[in-house]
Amino acid sequence: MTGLHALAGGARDAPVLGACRLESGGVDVFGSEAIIDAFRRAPLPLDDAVSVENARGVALFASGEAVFADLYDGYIGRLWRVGQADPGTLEPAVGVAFDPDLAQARATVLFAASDHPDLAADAAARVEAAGRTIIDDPAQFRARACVVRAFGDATTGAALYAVHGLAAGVVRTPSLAMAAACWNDEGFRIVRDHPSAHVAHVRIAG
Amino acid sequence: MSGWDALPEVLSPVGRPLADVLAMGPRRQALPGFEPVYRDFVDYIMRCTHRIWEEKNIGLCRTHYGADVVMHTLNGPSCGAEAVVQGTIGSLAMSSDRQVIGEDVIWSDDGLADGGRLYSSHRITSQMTHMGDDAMLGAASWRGIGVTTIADCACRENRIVEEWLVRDNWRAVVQVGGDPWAVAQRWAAADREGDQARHGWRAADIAAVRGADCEIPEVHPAALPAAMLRAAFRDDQYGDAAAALSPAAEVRWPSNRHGFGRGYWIGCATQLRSLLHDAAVRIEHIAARPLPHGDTAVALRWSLTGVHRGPGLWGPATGREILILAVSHYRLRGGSIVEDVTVFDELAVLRQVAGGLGA
Repeated sequence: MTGLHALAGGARDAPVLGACRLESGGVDVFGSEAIIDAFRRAPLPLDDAVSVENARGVALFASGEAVFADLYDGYIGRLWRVGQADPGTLEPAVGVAFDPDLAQARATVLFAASDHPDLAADAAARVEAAGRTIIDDPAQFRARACVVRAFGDATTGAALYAVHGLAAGVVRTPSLAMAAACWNDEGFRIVRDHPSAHVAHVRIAG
Repeated sequence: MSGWDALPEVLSPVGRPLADVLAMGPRRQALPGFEPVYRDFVDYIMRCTHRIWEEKNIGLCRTHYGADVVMHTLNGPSCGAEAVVQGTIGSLAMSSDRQVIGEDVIWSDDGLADGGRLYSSHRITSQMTHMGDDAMLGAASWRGIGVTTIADCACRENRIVEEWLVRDNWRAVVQVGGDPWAVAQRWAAADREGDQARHGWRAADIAAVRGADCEIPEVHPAALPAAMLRAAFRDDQYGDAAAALSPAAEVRWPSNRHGFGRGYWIGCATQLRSLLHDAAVRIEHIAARPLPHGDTAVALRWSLTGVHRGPGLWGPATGREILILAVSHYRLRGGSIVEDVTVFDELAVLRQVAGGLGA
């Protein structure tokens, strides 16, 4: 059982680095003590767990959620938990208006293979295909998937996405949510964060 | 000055358990005048932080800071080791369970062998409980606080002789349920009382921002992000600037600005630039060190100034000259910037917007 399995299952002695950051539903948890506590309080049931691993990263899919970890010699250095039902309370944030595309030729999946040295060349199409599926969301007017982590090959692999979106409707409320995909010969498994209220301030004075 | 990647045995703390970082052992780097316990410069920064803040041996500040040390913050400079001692005691009285978790130390040898200094850019995310009353955070709330600080320290002979400290104080205030604008206004009102000459440092720093950048060799890893900042804030060529980033780069700027991609970075930059007219940017220090897995860490200390003539995030335009002191830590991979963590004190910016600090 990997260190991530142990952590996700709520083990107190999981190999989490002191400077590790966990992000779940936009909520940050920092430090090994707080992260281990967070998983101890809300462990993942691991009965149907599927994992994709390499030396520098591991992804775990179980019970409708996904957890991605950066690894350093077996220690967990950074974490994302996707699809958690109640990750906690979002902090207020300064909102930033931005254009995700910088062109009229709209991109859908923002991805540079050179960012992901553990992703085989033949897996890039899988990453992009999963990303397009993720952003095919009628609730979003404009969604863009940024590939945050990806590893594996065309047969087996996993990818983590940050999805910037604008709500479909008169008021285009912005959102940032994470999504995850893993794939094998049978197809994709995709997990998304639950929709959450985006607490962004466009004015912080006056 | 040695090459940026000299002494590969002096490791970044990234990816290492604290027990490994603080393991005792023989010296790995020439550190003339440093206490024997320090194995290398990263160890000095990490270990003295731990000794002072977590082991609570605050008096060590008297042997680890120069008697005349100047600590630069956007709220003004403080001078002398005794001020550091008193400030540290006050901080720990407010949050005695503070864990000062070092994320990275990006350092440079600025000619130590020729009478110069070692320079560290230490990124910290502290975890603490707001247990006591505080001038900024208000009455004890018993809420958890976790904000990022970057401390840039120039050191020689075991002492920090000059420091630049940036902290995400807007975020700290909102974490305890406070109102940063109210805090800024209260401070600004106090600033407008008494001898205004005490704010002279800010005018001097603003003037300095319109001076030349520090030297940045073309082959140095810092050349890429430095060019990005110049293209943005000096030339207003934001598309060209952002080409230095990966299309999916992660961007963390103060006050919980968090997003991905070149467009998001441009949004952060243009947000500031839209507020500040007649803007100038100056890059003041660079450092770079290897990271695990072949990545490179780059630290840039930079300042931005301009006249607050744009309405928006900071409320109606005030016409006040604004100064921002920032430090950015970048992760480079495959010739692109894949992460940008930038810290500046937006609460101190609001203090200036409200007419404080001589603005």
